[in-house]
Amino acid sequence: MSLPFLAYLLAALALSPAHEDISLSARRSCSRSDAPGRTAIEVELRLRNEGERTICAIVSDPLLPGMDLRSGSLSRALVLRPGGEGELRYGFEAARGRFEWKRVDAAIGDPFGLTEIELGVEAPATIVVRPRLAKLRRVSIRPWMTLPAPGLVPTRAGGSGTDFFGLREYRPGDPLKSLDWRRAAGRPGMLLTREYVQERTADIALILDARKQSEVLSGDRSLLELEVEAAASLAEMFLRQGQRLCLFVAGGGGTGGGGAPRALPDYGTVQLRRVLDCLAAVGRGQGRDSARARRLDDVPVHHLPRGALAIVISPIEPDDLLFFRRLRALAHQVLLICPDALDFAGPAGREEWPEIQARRAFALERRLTLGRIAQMSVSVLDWRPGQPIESLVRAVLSRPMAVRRV
Amino acid sequence: MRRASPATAAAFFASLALFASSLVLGYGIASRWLGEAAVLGSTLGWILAGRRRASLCLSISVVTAAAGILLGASAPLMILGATASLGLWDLARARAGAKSPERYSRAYERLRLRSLAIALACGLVLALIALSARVTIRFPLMAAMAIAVFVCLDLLRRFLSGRQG
Repeated sequence: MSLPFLAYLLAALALSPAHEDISLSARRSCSRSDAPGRTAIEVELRLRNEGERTICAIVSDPLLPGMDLRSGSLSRALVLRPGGEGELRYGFEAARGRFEWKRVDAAIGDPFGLTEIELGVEAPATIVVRPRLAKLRRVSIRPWMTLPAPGLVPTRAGGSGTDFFGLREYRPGDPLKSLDWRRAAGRPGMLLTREYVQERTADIALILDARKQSEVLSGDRSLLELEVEAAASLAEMFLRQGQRLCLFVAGGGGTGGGGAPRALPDYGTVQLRRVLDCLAAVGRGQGRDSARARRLDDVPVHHLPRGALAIVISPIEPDDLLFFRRLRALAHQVLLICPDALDFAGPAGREEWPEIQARRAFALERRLTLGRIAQMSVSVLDWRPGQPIESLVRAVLSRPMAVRRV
Repeated sequence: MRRASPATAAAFFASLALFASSLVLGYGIASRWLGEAAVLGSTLGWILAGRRRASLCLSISVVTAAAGILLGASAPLMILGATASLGLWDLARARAGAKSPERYSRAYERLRLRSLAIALACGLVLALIALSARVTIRFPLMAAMAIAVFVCLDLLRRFLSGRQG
């Protein structure tokens, strides 16, 4: 009775290749090399048998953290004849991230699955999924300082803009087209020149708080994702307006571990790409647990351009007051966009006394901290994550902010 | 949507029919009604828990077939049943592995079924030939053969670990 079992075992042994007989190569291709968040991306893996024996391979390519499978299968059993190819296809979606594959796993064995040799076959590829951004309408900002470059920010000085600023006495060299001929006719012997509001660009510094302790999860939603989307939308709006923008991320991990991810000041679509690449990697790298990455001070504020309008997006903690004091000491105009973590977390599941008290204490502490920050002449925007950020930012930025020296 | 592997499923049910019919026939000829009940129980076990408990079902089926030979049922039918149960075990594992429709390529499925059919057919033919052979072995020779089997098994283990790198 044991002979059929023995024959089965011998067949499995005969069909399983030896380690030295296996020679596989793999090629990975993605439908896109970069994509906006929540776009379906197809991955195709092609394996080729470079050896001289037919092999049975179970190819598997597990999802990287942050990916959601949308179609296809992550593993497949293939028969690869000498010189033959087999493929594995699947589709995934991700909110954002920088995904880097190095290899694909292959288990080579007999067709019955009794013997198995596990191999990692090189199949490198990288894809950047940029965060989604909402296209915000233009906001006319009123920064304290501007750059000496033409832009869209009206200043309190006359120059060559489009809006009327005032009249002054004619000076030799003024273009004749700027002369106010009507008034000159009424006042013989006196020539007046029309001046227009000078429009310049502003320096904007976006500072995003991606510290681990500031991360709030509610079901499958993350407050950090909302903050990242808000930062991306604001960056796109400011760069579209021609402002110079830089981005600093506190505790974001990012590439290379310890250092805070950043995009140094620049203009235009290339800078938008840099900023979105930087935001894509926020919170995905290593080094988020280091003591340095737990403080907002991780952001090198001395690298911020002089007089830049600093927009900080952070759910804030009581220990962060010093950071704002430093920003104000460097004479930066500061806007704090503070998402309400309590509102984001939603109502408490079980309304029990300790929980109610804890929520009250948290809300009180937050209000006190925001009050203290506001006393430093920092504009504070209390953002309930359900509200559209556009109208709130417009209301704050389009009116001149009070200046108070600290 | 295409089911995981229709050919594998068809082969599984064909093997199940072969297993049940050969053992029922064998026990029926020998008028062993308790054996009939055991065969029906193990057939039900394969249907209900074959995917998750394939090894347990195989053990029960082989014990049922071996008990049939000891109780005087037809040996060829019992061997046929045991061979079919081995096929069932392999196909149950294949079906359990094919969770998604695209898990197995058609070429892989074809190769697996073909290899299984050849291996089991060869084993069955060898077993039936062995049934007709009558060999008398003395105890010292049997002991020597047992030692040789252990040595061979150890060599096989080393050979397998060497192949797996």
